[in-house]
Parts: sequence; structure tokens; C-alpha cells
Amino acid sequence: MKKNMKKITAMGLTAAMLLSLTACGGSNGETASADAEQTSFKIFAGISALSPDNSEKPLVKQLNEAMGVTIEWNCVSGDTLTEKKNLILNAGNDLPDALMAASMTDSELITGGESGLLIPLEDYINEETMPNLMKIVEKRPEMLASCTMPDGHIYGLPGISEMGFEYEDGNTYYIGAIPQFTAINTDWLEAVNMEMPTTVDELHDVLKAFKDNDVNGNGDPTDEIPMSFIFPEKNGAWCAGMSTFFAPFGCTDYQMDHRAIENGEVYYQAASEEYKNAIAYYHDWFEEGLIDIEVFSQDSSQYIAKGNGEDARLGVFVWWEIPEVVGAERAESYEYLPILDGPDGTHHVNLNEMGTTGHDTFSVTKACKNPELLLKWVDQRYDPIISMQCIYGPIGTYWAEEPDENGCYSMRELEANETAGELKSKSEWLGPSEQLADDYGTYYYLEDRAQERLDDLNNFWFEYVDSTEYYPSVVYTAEEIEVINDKLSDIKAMTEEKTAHWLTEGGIEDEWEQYLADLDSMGLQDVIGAWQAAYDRYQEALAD
Amino acid sequence: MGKERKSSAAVMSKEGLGRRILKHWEFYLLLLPGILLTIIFKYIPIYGVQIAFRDYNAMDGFFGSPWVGLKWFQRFFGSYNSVRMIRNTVLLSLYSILWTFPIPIILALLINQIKNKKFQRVSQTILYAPHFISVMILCGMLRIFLSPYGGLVNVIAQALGATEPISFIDSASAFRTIYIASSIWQDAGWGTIIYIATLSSVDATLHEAAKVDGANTLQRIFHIDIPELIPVIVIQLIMSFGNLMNVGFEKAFLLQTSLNKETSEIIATYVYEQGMLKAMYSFSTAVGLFNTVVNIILLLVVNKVCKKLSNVSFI
Repeated sequence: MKKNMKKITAMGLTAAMLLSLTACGGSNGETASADAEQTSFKIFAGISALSPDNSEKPLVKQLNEAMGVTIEWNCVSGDTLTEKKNLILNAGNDLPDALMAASMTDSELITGGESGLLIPLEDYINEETMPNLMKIVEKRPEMLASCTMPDGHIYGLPGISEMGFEYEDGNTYYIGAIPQFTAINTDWLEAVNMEMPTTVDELHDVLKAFKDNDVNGNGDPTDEIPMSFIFPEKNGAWCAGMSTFFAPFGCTDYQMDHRAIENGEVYYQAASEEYKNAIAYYHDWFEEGLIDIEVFSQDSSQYIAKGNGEDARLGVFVWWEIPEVVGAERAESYEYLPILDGPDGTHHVNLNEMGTTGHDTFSVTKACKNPELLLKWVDQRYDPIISMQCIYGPIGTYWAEEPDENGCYSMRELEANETAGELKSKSEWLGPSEQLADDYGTYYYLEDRAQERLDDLNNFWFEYVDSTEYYPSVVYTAEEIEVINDKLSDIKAMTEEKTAHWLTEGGIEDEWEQYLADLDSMGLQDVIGAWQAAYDRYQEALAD
Repeated sequence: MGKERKSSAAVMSKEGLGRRILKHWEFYLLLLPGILLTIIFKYIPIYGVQIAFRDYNAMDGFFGSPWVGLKWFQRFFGSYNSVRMIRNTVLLSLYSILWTFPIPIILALLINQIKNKKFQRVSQTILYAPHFISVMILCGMLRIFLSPYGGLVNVIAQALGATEPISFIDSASAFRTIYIASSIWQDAGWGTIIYIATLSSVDATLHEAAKVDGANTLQRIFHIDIPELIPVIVIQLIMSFGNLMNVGFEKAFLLQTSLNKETSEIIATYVYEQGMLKAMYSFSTAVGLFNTVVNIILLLVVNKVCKKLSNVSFI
């Protein structure tokens, strides 16, 4: 009897296990129903790390109600965005209806469009479906051309952000023209009784004095960091890198792909003689301990923590503004460190690449049965007042409740302990948006920080600029994209690793030739060829 | 142990498989879910390996994507860092086994000698505790301890007279030491479990007899405890060689900086970067497949050697 009981229990358990197994298998077979009247959409969306889920945002609810749609959000932030997006684009099943703010690359748009995963959107860009977008297209007719892929279709909706200033040469330059501003602690300069440096050699002596003395006066002569920046691209080098320090040696390698252009010739800056001289020079500073030894491992939060600590610790640092790193109060002690002259008495500053339009923020997949309604819904975002709230945050949260007498919104008063940057990332809603130069002063005022930055560029940094030539936003062919995609990432990885090695260990003189040969064997010339071909086509199109 | 197993197998093989299943069908029924799970989750997905020989894209799927033969393998072996990656992977695992393998055995022998049962249990629990810390947090702790500014290690070094702080995390030569030392701290205690269990089942009469013969503690460890442990040690060794090429990817990735890549870039981190971040699924599958093939060969060799030396084997 007892034995039988055991048997029965065993069988029961086994059966239960098998049942649960089949149950697991069953739930995957869900299929999307063909429904032309679809009003419920699934959207995969990128959000900023501080932001809540899109479904909780009041603006989202407002737009949903206006169009009578419901959205099932799958929101992802930070590092995992690329990973999740890749899985979605490559799994082939369980597709969302649209991808929003997912940083779609041109390569993904083209391959997605070719394979039918993404649907062409140009047929929907018309007065009836997207009236708000059409208003912008009327003002900026070139916008649609810039988001049309080589096969003649549009797979990503355009976005436009014009934040610029008119320089004395009559051209308009945009906010990212020089992404890295260097700053120096003037209290420390006074403490060591030295002038603002104008050459790299003078800066060297200043940093040496910062290092050897207790310039922050806290009794510890070793806690001063004469100079800091961020080296790895993934940690935030775009605005905290060391490229501005390359200027004395003849290049500013701002662009993250090390791409630059001179007299219509595209080249790879990290393979230039100027780059080599700069790295060789700064190696000595590493040897002398003038540069923060954490530049290769720190990320932006650790970097900002250094600036914000109890005592001032940074002598010279790089960021896109001063207060965000050292706090509003201590920012008084810092001033911009001008572009320095090199050992030969000259400097060379070229600009970062600047574009105002993008097409990576909204794509519709073949899973969507009612693209018309979805695009009507998203078109609301191209309304200037809605766009303003998408980019920064809702009225009443980021913007003041009421517009001023000119009908313009300005940012609300900040409370203590609040910073504009943090408020923005908490309340923004990423996705396609518009920000035209004539919106400022018509609908809202330009963000204070942006205005300050533009003024700084205009009044301070641009007087050092030697070459205003930059690589424009071009359109690549499918073949060019494949070449670039295939080779560039390994090339960049080697440049990053070798440069880090040369800065700390030295040896660039002996290893440079080998490095250039390795770059070529990895296909650098093919990549440059693709860049150049796309640029030449762009120039031809301009000439027509 | 090995002998017993063989003799029982010999008895069994006299009857046919079908008859044996009929006779002991309850046991086979219990085995069934395990076998099914293994087949469904471990064997069926192997068909996906074929994308290592194809140029995979989502729309054409696993079977429709164009066949490219050995293109991805050629690309891997032609790349400037492939030799370095293979070397780093093998060295990191070999050093890991070399340093982390003996320590749990020694710890287990020591713990087994503790007479006070309560003290024994408390010290075991303390030794296990670090095992439950997640890798993410462990790496965060390591970065803080090893920081050149105010990090524990540098503070101690400076108190002992070092002049300049050292950024250990950026140092290629320190990477393996950091990796292995932290593994020992984290997992040595946990690794003792199986050895302590074996030691506690050692026949007490052996020890009593040895005591009567005048053997001291050390002699009893060498002549009773260690020989009893040998079969378990060999199985553990084969298992760790089975995972030789699968060194902990998360930890290597989280401790990686552009300066220590010289030693920290291993096949697993490269596969992650290429596959998950750059969506080159075919390429990373090919690299992963190469890794697995090397691993299987190593496993078979080690199994063979162990069988020759101690007559214990898996396969």
C-alpha cells in the first residue's frame, strides 16, 4: 500500500511537471490580429535614466486622449537600450508597432527597410495625416531630403533642433560646434601667484605648482588634481574629453569617429602627425603626475563628484559648462582656460560636426496595422508648444504656468537643490520634435544654459577657431554603410586602446608606424573612401 | 568508488535496455522530465549555431539567411586582437584554476578539524556569506577599494611608505590578480561545501584505528582525509576544466577599462560587444562556437588524463 502511494505521488508530480511545461510552450503562440481600426499600439521607447515610464507622463495621456489611442509602452534607458533594440530588430517576431527615441542608425533603417521590417513613411507625410510636420517642412524644405534613405524611402521621421548663433562671418553655427570647454581654477592661480597661461608650457608650470602646493588650503598638499578629463568614449568623453588640449599641436579631435575634413579632403584625425605629437607631449604630463590617473576609468558621475566635493580639488577640467561639475557656488572660482599656443607658437582649432536634423527617433514596423492613426498621433509632437513640452517638460513642471505678455513661456523658478539639467531629464519625453530658430521669442525663450553656452561660443571660443570647415550630415549608400559598419568599430577600439597606452606608458615614437600599418590592414582607407564618396556626392548635390 | 560503479554496471548490462526500463519504469518516469527539459532547452537550440556559417538577418531567419561558409572565422582569426584574446582567456582560466582550486580543499580540511561544533558552523557561515554578493556589487566594491584617491588599498600602501597612488584598476598587470584574488575571497568558502560533506561521511572507525596506532592529526589528514577526498577532487577538477574557456564574463567586463584591455579582453567580453551591442550575431556566434569547440577538446583531454592517473572519470 505504502509503495503504491509513493508511485502515485511520483506519477502525479511528473504529470504536473509535464503539464506546466506544455503550458509554458502555449503562451508563445500569440498572433497579432489584422485590424485596420487598430487604436492600441505597442511602442518600444528610449527614455532618460531619471525619467519615469512614458505611460505616467501627463503629456502622453493628453496626446492619447486627443487621438483616442492607447499605447502599451516598453521603455528602456541607458546602456540596455542598444541591446534591447538589437534583439527586437533581429528576433523577427513579437515586434512593437513603432520604435521611438531608440537611436536608430542609418544602417538599421536601411536594412530594416530593405527587409520589410520597417515600413516607408513618405506616403503618410502629407497635409491630412501630419499637418504639423508639413508646416515645418514648408519652412525647411530640405528637411525631408535629409531623412530620405538611398533607396528613396523615409523610414525614420525627421526631427529638427536649431540652437545656434550668427557669428560675425555671417554664418550660423550650432551649439555643438565646440563641445568641450576647458576651465581653470583662478583662486588657485592666485594662490600660486601665476598669470593665466597662454601656452602649453606655461600651463605645465601652473599645473606643477598646483600639484606641489596645498592650493585649496585644506592642509593636505596631495588631494589637488591638477588636471582631469574623461577618456573613454562610453564614459562621456564627448563633452569631457581632452581634444581641446590637442589644439596647440594642430588639431581638435572632437568628432567621436575621429573624422575631420580639410579643403574637402576627409581624413582620420587619430592617424595624423598632429595627433601623434599631442599624445607624445601629454605622456610627459602623466609621468609627472599632472593628470588625474583615473581619466581612463572614471565616468561622468565620479567626475562630477570630484568637482562637487567638500574642498575644491580640480585645477583644470573639461565639460560643456562650469557649474554642472563644480556647483553654482564654486563656479565663481573658475574661468574658461583659453586655447593655448603650442611649442611652435600656434594653435589650430577646427569645429565639431554639426547637424540640425536627425531621423533616428521614430520608425514604424510592419506589425502596425493602422500606421495612419499612429502617425496622426505622433504628428501632435510637431506642434511648437507640444514640442517644447516634450523636449524640456510640461507647462507647470518645467515651464511657468502662464506665458508672459509676449505670449512666451519661460522656465519656472528653480527651488533650492534643483538644477535645470536634472529637472529636464526627469520631465522630458524623448522622441521626434521640432525646435526652429524662430520658435525662440515666439513660443518660448531659449533655455538659459543654452543661451549662455551660445554666448560663450560667440564671444570667447570662436575667436580661436582656425577652420570652420566641417563634415556635414551626408547620406550614405547601403554599400558605404556596410563598409563603415563592418570596420569602423574595431578601428576606433584600437585607437582608443593604443592612445590610452601611449599616454600612460609612452612609446608612441616606436609604435606609430606599426599602428598606421595596422589601421590600414583593418580597412581604414576603405572607411575614409566611403566618407569621402558620400561627401563628394553631397557637394555635387549642393552645386546643382 | 570507481570499482563499485563498474561492477554494478556490469551486472546491469546483462539484461537489455527495454527489459530494464520495464522492470524499473518508475525511475525512468522520474527521469523523463529532466531529459525532456535538457532536450528542449539545451539540444534543440543548437540548430541556431548554423548562423555562424550564415550572414544572419531577421527576415530570412535561421534557415534562409545566405550561407557564407567560414567568413566569420576568417575574420576572427584575421583580426589584430584574436591571438591576444585567446591567450587572455586561457591564461585567466588556467591561473584561476591554479589558485582557486586548492584553497577550498585546504579550508575544508581545516574546518573539519574544528572540535567545537558551534564555532565550526559559525565560521562556515561567515565563509559562505561573500558568495551571495552579486558580481555587479563586488566589482563596485573593488573599484572603490582600489581607487587611487582614498581607496583602502592605496591608503594602506601610503601609510606603509608608498609615495604615489596607483590606479590598480587601470593596470593591465594587476588585472588577473584582482580578478582571481576577489574570486578566492568570494567563492572559496562556498567551494568547501562538497568537501566538508565528503569528510563528514568518512568512516569514524578509520580515525579511531589510526589514533590507536598513534597517528597524529597531520598524519590522519594525509593518510585518511585526503585519500577519501581524491575522487571528489578529480571530479571537481574535470568540471572546472569543463568551464575553462567560460570564465566569468560579467566580472571581466565590469572590471575592464581601456588601459587594462591588454589582459582583460577575453573571448566572452568580445562576443558580448560584437553580438549584443553591435548586433553582429553571426560573427559573435562564430567566435562563441570556436570557444566551445576548444573547451570540449580540453574537457576530453583532461577526462582522459584523470582516468589514466586515478581511475575516476566522467565520460
